Amino acid sequence: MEEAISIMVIDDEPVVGQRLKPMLEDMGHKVEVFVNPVEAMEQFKNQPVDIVITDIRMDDMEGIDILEQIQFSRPETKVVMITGYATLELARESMAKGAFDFIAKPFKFKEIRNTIGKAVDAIKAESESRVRA
Amino acid sequence: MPIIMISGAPHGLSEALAKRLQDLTGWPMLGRRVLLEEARKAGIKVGRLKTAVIKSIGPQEKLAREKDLYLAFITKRLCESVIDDKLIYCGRFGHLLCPGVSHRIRVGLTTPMHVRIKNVMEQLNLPREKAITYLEQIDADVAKWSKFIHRETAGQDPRYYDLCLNLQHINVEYAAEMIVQMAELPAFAATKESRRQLADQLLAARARLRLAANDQTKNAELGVRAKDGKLIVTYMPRQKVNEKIIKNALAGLEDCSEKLCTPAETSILWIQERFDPESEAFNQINQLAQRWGAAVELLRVVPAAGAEERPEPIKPAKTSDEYTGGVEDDEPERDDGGLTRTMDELIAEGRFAGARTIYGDKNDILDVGQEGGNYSLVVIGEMFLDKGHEARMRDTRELAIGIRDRFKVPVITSSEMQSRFLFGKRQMIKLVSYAALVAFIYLLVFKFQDPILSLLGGSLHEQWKWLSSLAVGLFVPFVAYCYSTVTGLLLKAVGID
Repeated sequence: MEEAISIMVIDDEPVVGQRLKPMLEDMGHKVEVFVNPVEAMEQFKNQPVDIVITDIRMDDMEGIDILEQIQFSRPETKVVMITGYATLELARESMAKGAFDFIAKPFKFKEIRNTIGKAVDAIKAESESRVRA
Repeated sequence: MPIIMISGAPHGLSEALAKRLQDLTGWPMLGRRVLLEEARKAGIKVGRLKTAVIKSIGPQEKLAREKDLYLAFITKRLCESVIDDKLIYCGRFGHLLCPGVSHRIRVGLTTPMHVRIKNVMEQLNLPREKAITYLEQIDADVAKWSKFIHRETAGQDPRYYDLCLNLQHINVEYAAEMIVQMAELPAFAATKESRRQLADQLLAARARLRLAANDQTKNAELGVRAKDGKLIVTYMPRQKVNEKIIKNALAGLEDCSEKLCTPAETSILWIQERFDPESEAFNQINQLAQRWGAAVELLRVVPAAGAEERPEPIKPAKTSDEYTGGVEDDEPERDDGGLTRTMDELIAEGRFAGARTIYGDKNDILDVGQEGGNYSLVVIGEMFLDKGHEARMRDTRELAIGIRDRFKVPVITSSEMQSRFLFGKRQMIKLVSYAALVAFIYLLVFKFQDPILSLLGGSLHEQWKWLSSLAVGLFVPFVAYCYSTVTGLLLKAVGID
């Protein structure tokens, strides 16, 4: 049996995690939700995850900082940025810094489901190529 | 004193220039970032619009109205920020905003690439290679944004600017001084007419936002414009809005001397099974609608065979007051035959009169006529697609006759659009050929005047009376046909039907 993909959702608005968690769990993934990005990064250091979904603008830590930290410590983790403050610059900056995808709020479940599906495929493909190597 | 609109590329020096200008003049300043933030706070989905430029959006996502709202919002804020005819605006496409206002100086700023790369490396902490890739992508995005929002691909085209400045050899300080000098020219002084234009644009923008905020009018297709303080709102026939609802929504609107609400007079009904905004038929109907100032109503027909599978109307996903944090429920997916995309394109063109889907056959289409459409033309597109060519042609013909009798309006098929109303390559070839023929006939007539006159009334006429009658009987209608073809095509070419 395939191991479940672990996902961390970081958004200082609790409702985002509350709505995303059941949907992602229905897809068969292990999901942890954080409203405090600093706590989330502490947890990530101890127990890294496969996918991080993070808001960009938060009080205690910016999503771009989270992205940079994750890229530095575990670049194979896929980071999906979500924000209601989307600008062309922010989207391109996230991608330039290694984000897997960028989603503007408001979004439908389908959109994040598709993105997570693509991230899971990428993780599996990378894992298979590592095994072959 | 003028309004200075600085348009520059991302990570250039346009903000520094605007700031320097403000220091020199003390004029009010407004920046793109502030506008975007305010638009977002006002509930406009700026993020969805921005990411729609980068990613392909779902076929059912309607952004045309959001684009209208965004433009209305930034127009309103810009106009409101003008104090004593003065403002410094710094953005990407300031030169496309407040069109027609003569006391604007549209400044196009070019910043050398190496400066922009350095800015990106410092501001975003990116290595040089990534900074270059980032700038290439963002420049492409900005060009798409221009096309997407403003429907212009202005870019660095100097025709769009009053002053183009290249910072390769001058610095921001000199550039600011040049703009200040230019601002003192009488050509850019505010006039009664330019102030009135600005006031009208503010009034129309306020009205549009007010109508979008009202539950009864927010989904209606309304044309809004202002002239000399009078607000003119046109609504499409058969919508659930009327003069009273519109006037109620606009009650107490500032600086509005009069409100006129009228239904649009001309509309084209386009009947088809599947719509495609990238099709030639759409292009032709859009051209005709533009020429006539008409709006286009779409009628999608799902054939009777599929009527049994008639779906329940789509209920909007979670639109209750419950806060979702921007994570919205999915809407049921449905093949709408390209209707939403076509609607969106027509809304963007300001030519959308309504859309509906009917499930059934020819009789159901004819029943639409009983609902009292105010059409100038009915266009039947590709119909009866499940039938063979012969049967399709026959049924289309019968439908056209039925509609003509019932609606009492001209009916054509989309394949006849070009030849009947538009001027294209084929019409050009026809015009040249017939013009050459007419010229040749005239040349012959003038060259052989003597024998012709003789045939009409001279010695030849005496000998061959029957021949001259026959020649006149055949020749005159033939020349008349050729000549009328040429003049008809010429009128079509200049847009007179």
